[in-house]
Amino acid sequence: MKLNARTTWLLIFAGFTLLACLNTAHYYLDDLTRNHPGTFMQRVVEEFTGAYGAFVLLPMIIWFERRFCFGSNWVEAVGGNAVGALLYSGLHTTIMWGSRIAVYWVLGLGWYDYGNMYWRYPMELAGDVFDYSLLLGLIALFDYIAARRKMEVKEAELEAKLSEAKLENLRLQLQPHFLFNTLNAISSVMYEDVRKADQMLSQVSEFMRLVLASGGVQSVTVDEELRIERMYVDIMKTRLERNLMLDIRVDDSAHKALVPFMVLQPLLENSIRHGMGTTRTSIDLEIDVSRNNGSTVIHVSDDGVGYGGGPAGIGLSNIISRLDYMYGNRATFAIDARNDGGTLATLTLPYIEGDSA
Amino acid sequence: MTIPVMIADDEGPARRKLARFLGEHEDITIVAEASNGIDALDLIAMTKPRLVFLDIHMPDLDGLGVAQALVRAEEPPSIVFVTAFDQYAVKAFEVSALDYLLKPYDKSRFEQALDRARRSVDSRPDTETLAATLARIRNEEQYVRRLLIPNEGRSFFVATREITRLESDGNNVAVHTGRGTHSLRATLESLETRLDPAQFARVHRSHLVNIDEIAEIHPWFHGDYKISMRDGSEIAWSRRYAAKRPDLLK
Repeated sequence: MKLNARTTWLLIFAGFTLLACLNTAHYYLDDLTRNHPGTFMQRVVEEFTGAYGAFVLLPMIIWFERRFCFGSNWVEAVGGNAVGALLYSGLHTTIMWGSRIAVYWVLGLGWYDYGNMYWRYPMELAGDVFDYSLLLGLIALFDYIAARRKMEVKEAELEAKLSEAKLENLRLQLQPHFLFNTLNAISSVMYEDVRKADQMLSQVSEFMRLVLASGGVQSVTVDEELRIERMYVDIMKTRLERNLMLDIRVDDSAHKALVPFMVLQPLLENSIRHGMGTTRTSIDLEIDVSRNNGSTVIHVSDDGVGYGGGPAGIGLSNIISRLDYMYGNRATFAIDARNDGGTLATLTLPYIEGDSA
Repeated sequence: MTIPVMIADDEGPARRKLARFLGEHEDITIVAEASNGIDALDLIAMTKPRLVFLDIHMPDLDGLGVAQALVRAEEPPSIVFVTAFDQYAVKAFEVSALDYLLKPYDKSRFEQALDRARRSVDSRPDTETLAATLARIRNEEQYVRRLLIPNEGRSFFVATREITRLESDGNNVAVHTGRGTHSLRATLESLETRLDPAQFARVHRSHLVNIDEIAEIHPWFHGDYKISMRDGSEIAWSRRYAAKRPDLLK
């Protein structure tokens, strides 16, 4: 249940009123027990001014509780609240004294006699120390519960944000563009070659299965990454009807290296889309993974026509952002021209070993 | 007389699917097929189709770039955009009621698109709406954050915010940064459309400047201005371009 500030204060006020009623009953019945009738109005005025006086001073106690928190510095908290208790008692007694005289006068009950004030202040202090401590404890409990509830809400919000990010990651990895284009190609090939359409369907299913199995994670092992990239090139080969040859070499020591999931795909896509220019019908693609002084070095190259530079596409730009996010300046990414005019992209990542699935 | 139609898509199966569906209509002749944007423009100029099925995602020049070039053509053909997944573009086509097909599509969806396009073939296409829609799509797409610059075999990336100004130089563009000048084979026009206008302003036929790198702007003669850049260079800001960016003077 969630209360707003107004309702909370109304409930507290009701609590103090109830306290005043109980105290009135307690003292008046005591008077009857001892055969001192006729004190009813006096008890009502005394107990209600006492309770409401404390109610009026509640904000002050709250201030002391928050200012001198027992969680941090004990000496300061005890000292501060000792001052708080003295101040509270002094004010409380003064309020009771003044208000009782005023109420008596208004109701025509005559002069209210509070006794010898020289003794009255210390007398009330003795009781007020207990009241002050009790209120202090209740406020601390209330604050603690409020803080915990706030933290729980914050935690839930963080968790929601995290799963949202994971979902977004998965959505990107599923590559709707790639998926729908592939399905479109299948819907065409279907009319020409049922067996081939069938094979494409199983390829795209396998691709999706791998992406879904990754569950939106950031990194996978080199072996897993190459499996999905091989699948990608296979599918592109059927879609573009071009001769895409993919040659993969991996150092024995590099199979388990962790790499950002699908980080190589924009590089292969660039090679395939730009490397063939407008006239070529075939291209040789090479992926070479090795380990060198605590780094994983990945080369992706092609024998295509090369690309002359210009605005970096979203794919290439995303590689830089991802490397930056995951490794800071410990990763590098370069694109070179090969001697034969093709393109050579080099990724250097810190070597981190993962479990091969 | 039959309607001459052209297909542009970089994927063979995708082209054949369109050809198959179009082949069932006797009043339609496929005059050309293109597998990239540049070929598409050449073939359109050569074969003069009345209707083009234009895939958006193509290498070299994408479908939106082809359409942009067609806006200025003398007798522009009607266009049916074809795409697998372009949220921004599809939303914009929807708003401007331009024809489009979402891959993969079936026969009835294709027939609907063809019916609508067939009706618009006889009238001159609304190039104004087309131009405005293309501009809106380019606006909503992400602007380029980095340029890839080739340099003696090795290419490197330059973040666009590090660029102070771009200067056209024949068939090349000189990219000035705080750490030197690089040459890029491109036109200033093509770069201008890919760079964020909140960051770069065209101030002259041959100058595109990073707004954050402007030190001072002085009024010059005849409504022209002179811009002093932080790197010390001075560039004329001609009246013609000044009229397009009144925000810079605020």
